[in-house]
Amino acid sequence: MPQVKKTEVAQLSEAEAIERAKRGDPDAFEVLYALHKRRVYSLCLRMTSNVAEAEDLTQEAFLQLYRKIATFRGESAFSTWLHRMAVNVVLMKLRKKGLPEVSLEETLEPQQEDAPRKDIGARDLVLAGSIDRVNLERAIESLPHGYRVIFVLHDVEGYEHNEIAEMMGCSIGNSKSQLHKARLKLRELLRMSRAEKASSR
Amino acid sequence: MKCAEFHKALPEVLENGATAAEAEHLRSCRECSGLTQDLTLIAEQARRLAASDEPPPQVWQRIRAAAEMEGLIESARPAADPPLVPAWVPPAPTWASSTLAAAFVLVLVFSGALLYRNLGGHATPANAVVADSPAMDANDQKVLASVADREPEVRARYERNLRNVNAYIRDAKHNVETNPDDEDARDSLRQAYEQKAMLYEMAMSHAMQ
Repeated sequence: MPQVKKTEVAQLSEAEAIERAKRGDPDAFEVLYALHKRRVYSLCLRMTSNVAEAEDLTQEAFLQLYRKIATFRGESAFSTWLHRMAVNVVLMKLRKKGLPEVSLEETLEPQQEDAPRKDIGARDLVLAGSIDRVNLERAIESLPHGYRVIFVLHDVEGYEHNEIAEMMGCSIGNSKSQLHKARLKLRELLRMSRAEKASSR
Repeated sequence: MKCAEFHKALPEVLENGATAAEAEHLRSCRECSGLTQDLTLIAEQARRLAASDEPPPQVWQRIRAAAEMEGLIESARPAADPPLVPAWVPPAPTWASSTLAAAFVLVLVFSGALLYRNLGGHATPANAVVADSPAMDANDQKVLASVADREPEVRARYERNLRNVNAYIRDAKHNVETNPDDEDARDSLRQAYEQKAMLYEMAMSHAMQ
């Protein structure tokens, strides 16, 4: 089948691009990449906090997509299928690095050391107005690895706890517990950042 | 309801809303109210980070070249297309090369006719081997050995690309020796070595998977 001209490629719908990509059309592959690159790359970047790794993982995720695209039957949305593939690529990489994911000992019972800290910025109880994208990104990068993964999957990418539990091989309770701790830790980091800025004035 | 009890219930409050007792505690406790607002705000702001970053252009080039190498897509670049020049200069070709856009070299080699013409060589289709290409050295053999377990077509492509880039280096060296003050000749030799370094890098990354 003749390849589509560049001007026609830009007008391809996702469904058309998928069908053409199944037949090895390189321009259709590029259309699919353009449609989904930001979401996949952002996911990889947030999960690893490393630009070079995020680029490598984005590359691997799309290559896997191209290897498996012939098997896509449309039972789920294409974006959902691709995104799940990307998450699995990242998680496999993290497992190979030997990084801890979710503690098997965690339960929903908050431990004493996990209780919200009351000393930081105690006079200003609410963060509203203090959170911008840069501050939040920096705080996420500072999270312990296991907290960061769960937080990114749930609060940034929108996965439900049952989906996270299935992907991570943990319980729903673990997922909920790690998420809560991640949010508490982020609050602590953001309040420290705000306090530091206030004291430097 | 006391604060400690509320803290235990907070994950469920954030996910499913507050019970009457929890709502009453929120109305009466400034600290717990502030905590709940903060955690809610963090979750809301986090959603805005999804799909917020753009990958650099070389990511697509690497994907495309790797897909061509694996035979997933057809090689669509005609010889007349301008080659894509890497935006960086790598160190001398060694096994410990950086992890930058290795697949640029494949695009360059596949569309290498243009660069080759600049050196006074003859345009060569991407799937052919340059006539009279130099013999492969020990490092080239290591590269081929590292992809020996890949599909025969993939191994054949590596061998073809290595032979072509070796011929490119040979001709570029000759140009520099003949015209030692020619900046373009030295630039072409640098690019030739870049190409080979990236080819090694790609083979290494495959071997390490």
